[in-house]
Amino acid sequence: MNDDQTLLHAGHRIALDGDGHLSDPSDWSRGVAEALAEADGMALGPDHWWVIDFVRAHHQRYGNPPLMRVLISAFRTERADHSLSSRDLYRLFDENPVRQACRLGGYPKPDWCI
Amino acid sequence: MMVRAKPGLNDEQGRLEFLRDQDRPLLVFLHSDAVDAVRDPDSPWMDLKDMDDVDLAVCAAAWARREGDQPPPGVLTSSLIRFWSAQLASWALTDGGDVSGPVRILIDQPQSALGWKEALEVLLAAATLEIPLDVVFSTAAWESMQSRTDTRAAWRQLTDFDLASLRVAGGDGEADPTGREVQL
Repeated sequence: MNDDQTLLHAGHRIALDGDGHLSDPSDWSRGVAEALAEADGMALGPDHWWVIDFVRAHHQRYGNPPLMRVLISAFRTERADHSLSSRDLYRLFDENPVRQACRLGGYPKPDWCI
Repeated sequence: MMVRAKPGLNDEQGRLEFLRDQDRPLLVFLHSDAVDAVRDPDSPWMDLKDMDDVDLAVCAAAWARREGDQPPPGVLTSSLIRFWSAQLASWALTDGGDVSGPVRILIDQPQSALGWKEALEVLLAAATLEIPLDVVFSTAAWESMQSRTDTRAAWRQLTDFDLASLRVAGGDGEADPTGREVQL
């Protein structure tokens, strides 16, 4: 069972912050991401995972999540389809693709106003 | 207009006089250490909140990092995206259209770790709106940034994704005053 501040996964209670992000990023695993998504009513497919992995890699390399335009550009390149747009990412993550990928990827909510 | 300098470092009265003569409406956006000005009721910048057709705003993120409470009455909270959107709207009115060439951002002083982070955020917000950017460092600023491993890694995204070009200003007498293009 989950409450607003805790995710129950594989018999462990994982603390969440007030925005629903992991309080401790080291708690993250792919199973935790699946559990967070399931709690949101989402099932993660390959495209979701590509976005989450890209955002995690960007965060590790640069210390912040990617700009949406960077994510879209990389998604187009990855899929070899230049018709892809932000709409396609919003179909995957209907609130905010970068922010949701941060949350599911175990990173805190970005503290900037971009 | 964006103000980033810590209160007291610049000729604030002079800049206020300059602003009084500008066309309205006017947005004065306090970012980075400049947000500290709104804690001081005697700060020259606080005179702006009572002027007609002038919005005095603080960056919500910069404010939250330093304060957390609401800013005083008459001071708005806003975002870097809103600042650049307003700047684009202003350019469209005064220059008759879109941004014609790269916007040149001069970084002439070494920054603190937070200062570098927030300067990068200014650039990333502009890049979000696809504003072309030329960032020109003084030699001292460039060397300071290079010496900070985390900062250098973060700034590298600007060139890795073609979000901005980076230049180091030349010394006196150099042929190109915008200096030489550099990579991180």
